[in-house]
Amino acid sequence: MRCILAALLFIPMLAVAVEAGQPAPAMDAPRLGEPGNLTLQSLRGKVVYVDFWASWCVPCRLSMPTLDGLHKRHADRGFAVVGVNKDATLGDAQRFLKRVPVSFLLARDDKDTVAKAFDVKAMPSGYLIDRKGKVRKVHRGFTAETAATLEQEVQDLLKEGA
Amino acid sequence: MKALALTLLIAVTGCANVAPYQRAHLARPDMAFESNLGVAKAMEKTFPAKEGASGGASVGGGGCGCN
Amino acid sequence: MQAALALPILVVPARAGAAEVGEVGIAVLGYKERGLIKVTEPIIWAKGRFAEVWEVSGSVAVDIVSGASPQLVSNATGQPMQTITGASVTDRRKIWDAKVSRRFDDTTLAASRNVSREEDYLSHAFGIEVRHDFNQRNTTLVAGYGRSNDRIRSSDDPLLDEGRDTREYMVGLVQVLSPVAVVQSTLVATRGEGWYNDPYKQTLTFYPSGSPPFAFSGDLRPSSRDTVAWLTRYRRHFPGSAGTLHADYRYFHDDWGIRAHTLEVGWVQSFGARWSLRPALRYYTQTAADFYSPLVPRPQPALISSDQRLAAFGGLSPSLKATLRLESGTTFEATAGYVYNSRSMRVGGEGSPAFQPLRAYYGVVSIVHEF
Repeated sequence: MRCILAALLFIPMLAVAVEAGQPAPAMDAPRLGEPGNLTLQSLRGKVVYVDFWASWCVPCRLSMPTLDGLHKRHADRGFAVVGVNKDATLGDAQRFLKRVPVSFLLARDDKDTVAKAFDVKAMPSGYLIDRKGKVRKVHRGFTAETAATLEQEVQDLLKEGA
Repeated sequence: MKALALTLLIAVTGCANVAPYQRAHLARPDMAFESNLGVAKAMEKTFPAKEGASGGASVGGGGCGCN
Repeated sequence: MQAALALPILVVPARAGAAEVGEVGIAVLGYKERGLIKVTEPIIWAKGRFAEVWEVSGSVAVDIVSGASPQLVSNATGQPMQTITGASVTDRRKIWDAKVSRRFDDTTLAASRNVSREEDYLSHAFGIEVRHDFNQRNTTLVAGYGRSNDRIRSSDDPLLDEGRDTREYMVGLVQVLSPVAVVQSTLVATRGEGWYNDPYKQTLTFYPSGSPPFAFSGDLRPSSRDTVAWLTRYRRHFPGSAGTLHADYRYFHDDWGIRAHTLEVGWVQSFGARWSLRPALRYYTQTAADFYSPLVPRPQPALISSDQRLAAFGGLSPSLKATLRLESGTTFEATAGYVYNSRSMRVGGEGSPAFQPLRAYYGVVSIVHEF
């Protein structure tokens, strides 16, 4: 009862959001479809885009080709995309990846530990992290505008401390 | 009757806080409230044409001379 | 971003390119009553999302009705019975509708238009709707207003030309209950004024010892109707068994004396990623309208209708739907159902004695492609 009334009164959700300017949370997640884990620690020194996605989320599906393109173009300059998958089952994710293959790193997050650490508020959510491990930009949702902006943002960060 | 209905509604709905990344099951096609647009439209008049009751889902649907 | 928010809802987007997301579909409904009418209804539709915030959808359908409808309720045989007095006819009804919606952050505004045209009936309707998402989209509130204007004629009586105006008001709530359950509850109240009589229905009652020995009446209904319909739908997924429960309940009440309950329960069982089967059972029960009567009383009342749809009865309708969902985005669906309405199926009161059982079969097939 209180929940509905609170929602109706527009009381904002109190949460410690991960925003630009903060250090990226630690991440240690199993790889998708491969043995071993993926950690942000192991990618220190690179510009990383951590993207939370799922095959059931329409803008996520639309963002895949853009993110794959970004990863391919800038990987040799020290850029990496890490896709954290939020599908209900591994099968759902793999079926999607068969139709829309991507070349970037993929991880599973069954227990929601990574999503909670990053306090994900929308699907998709992308966190652009600089070479020193600090979050520089958060993208919530994915539109044509996001695609355009990301290219420039990644290039800017790659120039830093290269 | 209306007061009871409203109370039941609020009691039943409770308090859920499903995060945006936990909506995999809710996004399933079989969790939708209606079948696809065409089937829903075609079936819209099938039962009401033979019954006294109609409506409840939407507005602006128009009538039919269902004899 | 601010400029985009300032756009009035009905302005067509400047960059109206191809839809990023959408669907096209075709479906055909077939319905057949035992001994009475047969309906075939093909429908095609399309839906598209543009510039991320606009959504447009539209459909066109043709309702082809053939066979005979009961017209006269007469007690010539001793008991009031529906009789078919006219020849078998084929009627064609064309229905068009369109809907446009625009999303502004958490609020969506939509407008819709619906036109239904047949030889003796024309209906124009429009609707507007506002939706607002709260609570990280766990809660959605909806409010809507609709208006329809109907024009009633008769192929039997060229002089008949009447109208009817209906206003509809809707409030609704969609609430996520858990990661696997969601509920929707909507209340629609309508107020209509105008012509409700059915131009094709009459009642003839014989009074063997009376003078005159019979009474005859056309269909005479009130010139207004207030209704309330409260529909609640529940969906609950069971990941362990790959099944989803559907439960829908509707309470209906009008000022003609009709109270109706509708309950439909279904179970969607998934087999792998592509196939699913949905058996369902729908139960319906209603009271009779105050002025429903299969016999014309003496003295003759101002309001009377022997139309079975206003009688007290109950009905059971089982159905089975099979769905094949391909990875390419194409979905095939086929549904088969049976309808049985009778006075004995009524729960919560007496069924009308003169109610003649209705037995009908229906089937719907559809192909939808999502892109």
